[in-house]
Amino acid sequence: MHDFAQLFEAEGPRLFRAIAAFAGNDEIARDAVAEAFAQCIQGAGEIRSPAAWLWKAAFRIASGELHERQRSLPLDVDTVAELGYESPDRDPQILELIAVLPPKQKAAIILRYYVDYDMKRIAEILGCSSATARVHLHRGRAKLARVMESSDD
Amino acid sequence: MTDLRKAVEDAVSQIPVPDLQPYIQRSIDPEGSRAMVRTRMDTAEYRHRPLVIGVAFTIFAAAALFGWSVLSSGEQGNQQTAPRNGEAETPWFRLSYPDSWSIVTPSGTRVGEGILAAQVTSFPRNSPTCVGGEGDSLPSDGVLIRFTLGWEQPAEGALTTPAFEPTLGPEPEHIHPIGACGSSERRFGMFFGPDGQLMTVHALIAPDASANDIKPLAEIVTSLAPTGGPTRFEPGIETAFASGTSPEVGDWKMTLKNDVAGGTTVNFRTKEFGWGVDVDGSNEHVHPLLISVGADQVLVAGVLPNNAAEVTLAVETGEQIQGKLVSIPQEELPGWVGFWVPPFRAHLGGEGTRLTPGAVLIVRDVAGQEIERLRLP
Repeated sequence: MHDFAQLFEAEGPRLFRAIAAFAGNDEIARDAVAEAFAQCIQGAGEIRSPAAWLWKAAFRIASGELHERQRSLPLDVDTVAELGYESPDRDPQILELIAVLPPKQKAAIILRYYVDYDMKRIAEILGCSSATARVHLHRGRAKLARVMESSDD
Repeated sequence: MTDLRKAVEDAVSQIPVPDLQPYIQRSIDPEGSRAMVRTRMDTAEYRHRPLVIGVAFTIFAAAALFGWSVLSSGEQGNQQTAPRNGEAETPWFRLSYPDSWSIVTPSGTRVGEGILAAQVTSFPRNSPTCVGGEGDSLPSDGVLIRFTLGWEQPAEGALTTPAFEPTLGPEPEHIHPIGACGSSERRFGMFFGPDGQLMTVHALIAPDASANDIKPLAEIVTSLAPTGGPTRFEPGIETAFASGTSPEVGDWKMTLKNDVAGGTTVNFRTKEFGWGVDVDGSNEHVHPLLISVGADQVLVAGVLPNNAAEVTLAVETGEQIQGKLVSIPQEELPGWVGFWVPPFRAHLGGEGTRLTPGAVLIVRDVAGQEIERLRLP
């Protein structure tokens, strides 16, 4: 039997943050995480690895919603303030930059640098090979590095 | 330059997390999951609330309230769709069925090596079933058809010639049935679905089913239509990315399979044969696959770097055969392009023997410059 309370405590907040950074939109993140947990509970008897399943499902649901909207909603500085991010010391620009990357590149960035997953795990979530996931990470990283370097100048 | 990892970690860590409980509870409601997707905050003034976690009893209470057992067994994570005039939609395809039939669309549960997509029955879900047997149980006059992306059993994966169009035939003897009740007739189909995904379809027909009970089977199978869901290339599911017809091989498809454990295989298939080549992370720039066609011909297929503009096979006999390039979705396999060279007269011996006569694959870029030259095999 899966302990969903423990699963929620262990994965819920981190999963929400990752999806929020990916989608650039807290509403999509909230819906995707809630739907993923609900489906995980409903499919409890057949899911062998609920934590892994949750991450994959949440990213897919969020991707689907973004695809339907046909855009990711970039966080500009004003939107960030409106959503109540209150830490004045935190640089909101990195979230803006991540949000406008292509979906698989930004997912790879978030899963690697925030969630600290290895490439195999990232590949499972993205639904591609490890080599392909590495390419997504490399390209996303290169794009972010280029922009961040030019803003440091 | 700012440390990227630290910047990402710091920024994402500080995203406030709302109270997710109410949304999870509403999603568990049988109507909730669709309601959740449709519902949007009306107010533009969305503010975060402090994180409140009162998890332990609430989630289980919600599950109990809506009749879901977290110890569920039996049917595999199924969720009932709401059929509309005998039509239903899965994330991968739509299908039609008689109004008197029932459908269950499981939420993408893995079954063996495949993904269960839909199960349609001539009887309601809570019908009395015959006793005994394993797997699916049928009423004595029941008919059941199950759609799975990919294959459920290794024996199915060993079949090298899936059909290009939806069709059902007698189940091959070496394939273990999904479950039978008494002496049910079993039918089987392995074909490329409407969105290019390889599918296996199992049908069970109970002994007392009439011709009228069985008739809808073919119609249901041919009703499949793509929905173009957000993810076509499900891990572990071979999916066609290109197809065509040529005088040399007839109908052909090139497919791709992202393995769940990592790695990608690209396959060349016709209605008579199909084999694949692994595209690994090595430094190899050309991944060719040689396929014996009949007794005295060989076809070459595989992947090349995507700056390839032309591929030619130079046979030792002096024959030069122009190959064909096939675009691969770059999101799935960035940096590569598919290719195949029509069959030429040659013999491919067993392991350790050479292709006879020998041949060299020559790859050129758009400027005509040679970028790869590979002796086969």
